[in-house]
Amino acid sequence: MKGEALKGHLDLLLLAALHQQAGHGYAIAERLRRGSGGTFDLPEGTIYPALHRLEHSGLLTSRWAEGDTRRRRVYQLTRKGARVLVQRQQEWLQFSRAVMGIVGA
Amino acid sequence: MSPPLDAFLDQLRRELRRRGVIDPRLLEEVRGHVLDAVEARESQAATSDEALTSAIRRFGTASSLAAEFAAERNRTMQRILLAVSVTLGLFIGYVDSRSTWDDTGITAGVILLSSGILGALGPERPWLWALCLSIWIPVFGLLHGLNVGSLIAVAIAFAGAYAGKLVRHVVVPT
Repeated sequence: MKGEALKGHLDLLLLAALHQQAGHGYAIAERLRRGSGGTFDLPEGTIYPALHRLEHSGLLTSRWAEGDTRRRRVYQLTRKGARVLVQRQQEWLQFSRAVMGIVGA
Repeated sequence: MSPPLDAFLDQLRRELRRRGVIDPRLLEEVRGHVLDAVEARESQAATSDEALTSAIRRFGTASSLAAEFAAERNRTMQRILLAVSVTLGLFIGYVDSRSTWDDTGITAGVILLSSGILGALGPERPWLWALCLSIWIPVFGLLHGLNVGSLIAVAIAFAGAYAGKLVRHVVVPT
């Protein structure tokens, strides 16, 4: 999928990718790629401005986690982020049903 | 660290700096991300050089990342500057409107300095900071009868904000 088409949905995708488990940037990019079966294949750097924005909005929190060879910035969903995720999932379902109703399957 | 990754990070640092963003945390995150990607590719039997080239290519260009990051920062900064300019403008307007205040020179100096700082911090919209900062003086002036002279405050704010923008462009060339 084209990166530009994906960008409008990036916040929802990132929140959803962090719903089950906290993760660092590379792990999140991999979750998006694998979870979409390779369809969401945007430049990996694109996620960082969005991650930082979501953190500033209080939807994510982050901390450094020490690894074997280097430390990594790990992102986690906040309670506010979890609430927003549920709300945006519902909006997305409503939107996608409406589109499917017109475009058809 | 490998020379191609060093070069990529240096370029990203320069691109960010050019846009007024200094963020060591982002650079460390990017470095870690690329190294994670390299390790993953090496585990799939890629050579070190292939893995690094592929990881950097997949990450995206330094200029596009810096542009996106600066745009995000910019949006936050614009909101802060708007709030500051309105609050400060209301305060200056209120103080200037009091009958016990007759030091127009200080008012003009504060407007000039404040609008200059706002223009330097937010060179994209100097007109907005100037307006939000200075419009309250004529507005408060209207409450005490129309005072055309109070419009000079708006002119001073515009001059200060655009001077601040000019200084910013001289100090941080784009």
